[in-house]
Amino acid sequence: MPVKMGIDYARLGGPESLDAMSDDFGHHGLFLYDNDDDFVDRVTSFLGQGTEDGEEGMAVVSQAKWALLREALGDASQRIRYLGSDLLYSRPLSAVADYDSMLRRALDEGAPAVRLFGELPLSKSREECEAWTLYEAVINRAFADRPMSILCGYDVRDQPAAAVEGAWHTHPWLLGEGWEDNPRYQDPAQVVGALTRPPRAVTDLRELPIDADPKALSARLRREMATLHVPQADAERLLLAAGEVLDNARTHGHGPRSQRIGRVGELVVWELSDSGPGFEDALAGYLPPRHEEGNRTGLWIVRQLVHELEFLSSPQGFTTRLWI
Amino acid sequence: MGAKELDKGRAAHAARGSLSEEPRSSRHRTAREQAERELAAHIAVAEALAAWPRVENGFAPLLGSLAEALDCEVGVLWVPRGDRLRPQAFSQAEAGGLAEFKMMTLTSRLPRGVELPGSAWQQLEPSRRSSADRPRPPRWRAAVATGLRGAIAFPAVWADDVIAVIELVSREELELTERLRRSLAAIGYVLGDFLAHRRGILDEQVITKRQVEVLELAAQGLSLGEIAERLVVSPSTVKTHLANSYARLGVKNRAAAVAQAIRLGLVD
Repeated sequence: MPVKMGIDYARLGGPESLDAMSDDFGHHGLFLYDNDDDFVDRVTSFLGQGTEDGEEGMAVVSQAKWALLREALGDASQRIRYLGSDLLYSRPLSAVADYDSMLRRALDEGAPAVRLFGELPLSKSREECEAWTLYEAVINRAFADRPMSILCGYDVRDQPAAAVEGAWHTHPWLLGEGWEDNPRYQDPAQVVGALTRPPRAVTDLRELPIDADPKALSARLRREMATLHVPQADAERLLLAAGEVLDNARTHGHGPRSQRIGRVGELVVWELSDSGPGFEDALAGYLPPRHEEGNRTGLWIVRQLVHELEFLSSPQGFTTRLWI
Repeated sequence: MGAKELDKGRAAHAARGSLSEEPRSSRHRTAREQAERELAAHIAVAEALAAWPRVENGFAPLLGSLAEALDCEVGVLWVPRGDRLRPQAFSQAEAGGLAEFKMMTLTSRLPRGVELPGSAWQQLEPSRRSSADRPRPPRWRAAVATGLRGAIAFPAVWADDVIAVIELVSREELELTERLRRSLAAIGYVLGDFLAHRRGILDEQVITKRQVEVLELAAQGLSLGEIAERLVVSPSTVKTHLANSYARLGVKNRAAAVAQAIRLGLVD
């Protein structure tokens, strides 16, 4: 399949605003390729020489691709940390968390920066494509001002067109001939917003009272989940996540007003309403918290724990709904 | 080349003497200062070529001294391969601090006319870039973000053929005066002539030090066994070195390998 590797440079001559918009560079690049020679040439350049300066180099690719890289890198491959993509990319949101902890660890160990080449597993369905597109969009904000360069490879021979299309909207830079601005890049919040489904209509949830005492409340949720035959591990996750949501309701939402729980098909649904104004932030809970800012941790933890997180705004207040 | 002995310390001092006494404000350099700078660049190239190590890593000292002579922070050697320029060497005055710019440089493969090195390649003459120029491709934005402001690139030419493009990047805006243009063109011809006769060193798979040692002894007429004895290795190891060097040099036997190595300047 022929790929358009480069873009028309003349088109980039454009408005001053494009230039002003991005005085930063290169933190999240897209590399589309359709042959192994290009793959090996560019990726070894990206990982190889840069890591001589003490940067930590990482490759998150399939074993077959790593074999190609390792052979071309020779001795330099020993400086590159290899992680199997099937392991790291098992779930989009935990991949963001893993990147974040790898970056912290590398910086703690004295590396000035991290350079990562990653190649997502092949998406097998439209849902998977969308989940990974969302992840690619989140990466832009999650590591915007962190010393982390990420180059994402897409082998257009294998990846479905929808995944490649998603990649075009989520990488500000292209590794074409040189490095180019990607004219099709979209604001991450816009991409995530477009990929976020509107909350589903859920009926048959059982309303539960809200105990003032947190211990009594979690005991009540436990009992309720036992009658719904929720597996122990899922119940624990829900309790952890619910604790964070309750915290948020107390801090930002004028206190919790009502809660409901029930089963919808295979999943357990729990929701909490408060009287607060809520918020509109498509990226809520997607960005890893920083040590220096404590207040965005709650929803991040919730997203890591649950299958899906929904927000519903109504004149009566704001509802946070978890699916586990 | 070796005959061109230069008193390095004295020449460099003479060429750069007046610069060291003044703050570095390149914008208002006097004509004399500029001339001295260009002289220093010529001397740097001559010295680097004279001292050229016969095998690996010859480009780093060349780029380093050329960049230093022209008050530049970074030197990049680009070599045409097919219809793209590939970065072959990257030299920087101070380690660190340029990570993104270096990464973007090393991963770039520039067609004719694209970015500064591509312009120098296409136009066959020195080109210049300033931090105020628009548009700014990401690689150049990365440079500007680390405090680099001016860049020049010029081709190393031999028989109307661009053998390489040298890109120099400075923390100051660089002016491409008519004089400097002529100087760089002249340096480009010297370099082009030098590199054209040693295309072997521009190949990615340079021949290893050990292979050169074996070929040198072979050129002196030593037999396989004698070479092995001299290098304190087994004859089969010598055979392997020779076989590998044939592949690298694109030849089929020992005599041709020796001839080719001499022609490429790898062996005296």
